[in-house]
Amino acid sequence: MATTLRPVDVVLVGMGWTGGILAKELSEAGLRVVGLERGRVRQTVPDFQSPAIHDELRYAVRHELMQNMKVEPITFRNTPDQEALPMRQLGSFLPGTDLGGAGVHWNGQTWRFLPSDFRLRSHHEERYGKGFIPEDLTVQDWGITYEELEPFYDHFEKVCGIGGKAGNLNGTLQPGGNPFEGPRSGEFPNPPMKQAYSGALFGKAAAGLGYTPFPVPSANMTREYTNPYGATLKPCNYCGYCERFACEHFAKSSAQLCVLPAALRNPNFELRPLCHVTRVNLSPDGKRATGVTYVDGQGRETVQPAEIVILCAFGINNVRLMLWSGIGQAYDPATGQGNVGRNYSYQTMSSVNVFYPEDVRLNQFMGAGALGTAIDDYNGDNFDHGPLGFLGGGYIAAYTTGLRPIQGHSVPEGTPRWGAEWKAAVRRHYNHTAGISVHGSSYTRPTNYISLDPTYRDAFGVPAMRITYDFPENDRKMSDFVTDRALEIGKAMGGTQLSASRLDKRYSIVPYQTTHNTGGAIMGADPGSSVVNRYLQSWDVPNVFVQGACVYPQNPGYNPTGTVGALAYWTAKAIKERYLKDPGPLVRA
Amino acid sequence: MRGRGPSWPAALALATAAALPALAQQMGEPARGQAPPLHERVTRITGPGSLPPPGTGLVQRGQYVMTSGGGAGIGGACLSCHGVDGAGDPGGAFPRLAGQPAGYLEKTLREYADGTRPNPVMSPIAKALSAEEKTAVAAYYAAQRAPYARPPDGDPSLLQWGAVLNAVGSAERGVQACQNCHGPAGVGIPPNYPALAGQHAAYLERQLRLWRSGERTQQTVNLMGTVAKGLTDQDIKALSLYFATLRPAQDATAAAAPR
Ligand SMILES: Cc1cc2nc3c(=O)[nH]c(=O)nc-3n(C[C@H](O)[C@H](O)[C@H](O)COP(=O)(O)OP(=O)(O)OC[C@H]3O[C@@H](n4cnc5c(N)ncnc54)[C@H](O)[C@@H]3O)c2cc1C
Repeated sequence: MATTLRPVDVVLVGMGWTGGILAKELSEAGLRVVGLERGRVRQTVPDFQSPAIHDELRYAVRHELMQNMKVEPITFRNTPDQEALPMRQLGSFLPGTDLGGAGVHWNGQTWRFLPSDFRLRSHHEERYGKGFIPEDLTVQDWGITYEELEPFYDHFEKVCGIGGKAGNLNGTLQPGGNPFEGPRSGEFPNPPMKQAYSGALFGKAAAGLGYTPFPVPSANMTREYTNPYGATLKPCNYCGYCERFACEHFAKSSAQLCVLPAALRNPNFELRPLCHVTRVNLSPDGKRATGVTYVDGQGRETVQPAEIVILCAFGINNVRLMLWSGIGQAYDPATGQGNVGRNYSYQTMSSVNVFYPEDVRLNQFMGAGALGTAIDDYNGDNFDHGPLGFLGGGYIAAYTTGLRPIQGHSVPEGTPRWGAEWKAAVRRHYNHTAGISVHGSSYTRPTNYISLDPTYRDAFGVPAMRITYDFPENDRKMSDFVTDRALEIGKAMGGTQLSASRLDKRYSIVPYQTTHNTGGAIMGADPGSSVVNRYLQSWDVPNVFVQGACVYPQNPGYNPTGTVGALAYWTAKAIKERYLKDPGPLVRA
Repeated sequence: MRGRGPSWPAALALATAAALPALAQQMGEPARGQAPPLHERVTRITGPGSLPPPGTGLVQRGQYVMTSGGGAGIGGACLSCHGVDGAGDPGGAFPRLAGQPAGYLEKTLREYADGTRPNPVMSPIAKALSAEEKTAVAAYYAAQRAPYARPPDGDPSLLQWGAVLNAVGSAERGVQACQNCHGPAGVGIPPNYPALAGQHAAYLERQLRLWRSGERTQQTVNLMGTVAKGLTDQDIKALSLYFATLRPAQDATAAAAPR
């Protein structure tokens, strides 16, 4: 029998970036808030200390900081006519577990989306006419504008201490920054990172071709910084262990460093680790959430009643909880009915390697997760799509994120895959190869979606999440086009050899690409085509709010977390200023 | 300076006696006994005030700067204070240089020269050394091994606290663990991070105070400044004692050798 606890005002499911932000904001508003985290508590000291935290085998290869597929499997297929199979280990993406979530082992590349990304359908119809968007692309507007979100982007960047150079301040273009970005109300709180050698080579070549290179906005600290809540972060020393690792230097923004100290100081907030939420409980009529059920560290089933339930369990995990709890109608690709699970999307990642002679030493064992030089000329609708026959784009960047000994060996095409020749090639090219990434958008189509698996269940008896996904033809054309531009830049960088790695023939769940899973609980202005309203509130169960990238109707060509953070603050404000005064739908359907 | 440095001939005699076997090996020459005495070689290879010709091993060229003072002249010869083997002096003014990363030593000389690290003794010497001489002498001391004498433990609780700060720092006060940058047991991480193990306690103590007060700083991110400002006097004593009691990495030579 489950134990039922005393009710609280708010229960947060998951304590990563979004859980941390809402814990602070809502407990400060006087609400009693409980944060349930399936994993354990961990802090810079003692959990992330050197040299153990640089163990590439343990963290990068064996995924110790990440969701355990044996406990919570994910099944995958490319199309609805296939049978989905469970992943034995994580591959394509790496969701986090334990306090801080994926925000502990992220890179820290902290972008804003373009103003046109939020009005994707309207924007394209206005610029190119009604028939321009291919019929099999289910792109739609977000129900929110860049201008509305701007103050929240600005705040999240200050909370994180992002280092960068503005390209557009209140409509005036700024030298050195990204000229395509939406107008910013202020400069970045910190200066950009020192650009790496490969970034400098990239920047020079790109500028020579008429593009505008700029430093990638970074959550790796560029100086000592105290955020608006009094939390101090320390300067990054470019050790190169951000992606897939936790930072021992207090130098990478995370929920632990930036928001949780303030939340934990507030007696209204209780952090409860080792509590795995299995379901959101609904009233008999299904119109109200009464709280959540979780299994605690000792295996006891516990019910936590609450007035407001906020899903912060990482985008796609939120979708699964909604499907299992019956919040909204599950999407069925056969009939097109239902919205929960619809418009799952991903990111189209491709890359170019530039191989240099041995006297060009790039020293890429140094680096930082967000140390990069980029151009945005081919992102979103920053270029004329009229004659091209596709939508979308991506940024092109030379990143220096730390070339690790086990996973960091690029060799030219034609090199044997193992043996003495391969080893010789690795030695020859390790310090002399620059990488260019194309970080592309992925737009949605009707057969890409999330559902509950009919066969496989997790350790708690809940059906596994089933992902059905392949790149739409549109994305392939886009990715090839932008990759060709990256090849041209690579050529101008002056190496002796080039190679390009393009999208796989079919999307594969095995090789790592990015942890930018989006959609499934998308936001919008119309309950007929979205799961949550513009305040990220469920249309069907208005005391449930949904956080994370699952609310993106489609995935722009940037990393997601800048917008995830901004939307969390946007939701917090709506709850504090409107919902508490008049609990109920914030948007009338 | 430490009184007056040993006189030139005395220093050279010292150099010959103490360093010859190691030097002979580094120069790829037959072992001890077969090589001519050091001073003969120094004068044979070079004219006064100039480096041995290009093509001569970097360490060998550095050895010349160490004994002759290079562009700084004989009064600036490194060995008179730091010793031929770079063992330094427990008094605190002359750090142990043996086995330090060459990149770190070279950068330090540049910082003395450009005033980033002001020091009335070292600044004029560093200014007078050419860029090439800096590189060479840094390589020379990076390649040295020097005897290590463990200082007395002192107060055990102080030593223990130094070990704690090294391993986990103090999150409350914004002090990072030393070993996050300086490597486990203070071995140093070439090319940037100096070894702390076996460094003289008085030197470490003085430097930490300089970092804390802002008199010593860095042009790029001031990593040590932000750490040191969270340290109390007691912390500084504890850390200095702790690192001084750690045996220097025996095989620093391999790690520090320039390519
Ligand atoms: C290797 C890597 C690199 C990345 N790099 C970047 C980057 O450079 N830029 C960028 O913008 N984004 C990046 N990301 C993505 C970024 O980490 C996420 O967008 C961000 O952390 C999402 O915040 P969140 O609050 O939605 O989820 P998370 O921060 O992941 O937090 C979710 C939390 O919920 C907990 N949880 C899950 N299920 C349950 C349950 N049933 N019960 C209780 N708790 C639960 C989890 O344990 C976790 O702590 C990266 C991700 C990875 C993995």
